[in-house]
Amino acid sequence: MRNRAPSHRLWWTAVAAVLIACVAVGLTAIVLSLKSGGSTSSQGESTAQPAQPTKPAPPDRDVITSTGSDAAAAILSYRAQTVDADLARAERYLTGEFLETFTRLADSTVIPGAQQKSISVEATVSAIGVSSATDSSAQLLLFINQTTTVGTQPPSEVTNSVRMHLVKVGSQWLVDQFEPL
Amino acid sequence: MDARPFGRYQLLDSLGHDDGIQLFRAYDTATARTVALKLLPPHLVQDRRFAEPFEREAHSALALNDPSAMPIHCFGEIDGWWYLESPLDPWLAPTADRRALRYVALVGSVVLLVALLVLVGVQLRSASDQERNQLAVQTASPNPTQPSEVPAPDTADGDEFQQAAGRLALDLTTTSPETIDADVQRVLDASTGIFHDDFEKRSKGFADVVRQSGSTSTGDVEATAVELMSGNSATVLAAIAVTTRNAASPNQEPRKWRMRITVQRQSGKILASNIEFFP
Repeated sequence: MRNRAPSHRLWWTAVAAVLIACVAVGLTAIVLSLKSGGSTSSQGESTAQPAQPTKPAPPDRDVITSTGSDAAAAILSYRAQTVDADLARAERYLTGEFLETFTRLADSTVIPGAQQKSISVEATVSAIGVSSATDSSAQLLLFINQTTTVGTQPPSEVTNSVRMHLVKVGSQWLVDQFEPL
Repeated sequence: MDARPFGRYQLLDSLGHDDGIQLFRAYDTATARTVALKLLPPHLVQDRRFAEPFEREAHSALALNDPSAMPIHCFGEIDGWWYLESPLDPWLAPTADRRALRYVALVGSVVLLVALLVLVGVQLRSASDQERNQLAVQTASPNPTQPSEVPAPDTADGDEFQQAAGRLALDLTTTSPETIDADVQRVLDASTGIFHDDFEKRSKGFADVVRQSGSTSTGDVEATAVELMSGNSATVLAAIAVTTRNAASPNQEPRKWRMRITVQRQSGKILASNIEFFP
């Protein structure tokens, strides 16, 4: 059970293949595949959560979940006609290395791809919960449904789960990790 | 609704999708019957990662001839699309939950998952909204019938609720023909209320299917999170990877399951009172 990384990755590659199928670029697919391929290995099963301080629920809980939900929808959604502005808006939710990765991919691949192939993606968060939270960081689990439309083809739908990590920077919660499961 | 022609079929409406594979209710003009069609788009046909499981399912379903497996009428290729034709869900009852049935249809011949969803998921999902409303009510005004010796509220993140829900998700998805009675008992011991009673009622059928199919299922809880929490109950989201194996299909890719588990503290234990599956 522990060494599920390869099949894990394979699965994601499969999801990626769906998104980038007819095209070459789906923002989600690339962002997520990089993320899952490159960084944190499969840590944190429910039975092995990192120890959390036993303090009262952070007052920010509602802020954390609404920010996480808005961020996920922004990161995973764009319209072909407005992809530039859509992704620029998404960047406002991000920080750290993930912001750099996201920005690089958006500029090099996603924006040109979406414009050339007329790709639009709409993501909705069907459920969101808090795995752990302190005053300065939070781990969330999101269930996401995505509808991808390429040109005039009928839309295709994909569902997945995402683990998202937020950190508090000043008074703002920002996403610094985004990992598909 | 416009029917879309597809070879000898008319695609009537979409029943769902799963990792690029599309499922339709379709009318077969050759046999004059309405069937379920599973379609693999041409660009995925070229991808062995998609094509292989599809082929395997077609062949294993034909070879398996297991009454509890999803029977496959036929399979083939039309305009570059691969298709599998199967009967519309034989369990389709007027009262059954449609979304769960879609899922049942999607998991196709993966016997165990079908059994589990039929026996556990289908009848449970409809209770979910009520249950959540109840939770909301409880949050607003403490229920006087609850035992008064309830311990102080949990840690910030409901760790105990998450652990209990994660364990239940694991128990529910980790079964084998040899241990099925104990597997069922573990779930019963960790559940309460309508969920417990429904599961108990259906557990014999569930165990029979697991034994007949020879399917071993292994669950891996990838993440849990608290969605809502009141003093003594919570809804917990769980993402689970489930690998099912049997003689006919020894190397299934893991299936990703997404669940919402309602848990409550009762006389010092945390028990599950509802489970919903997200399609």
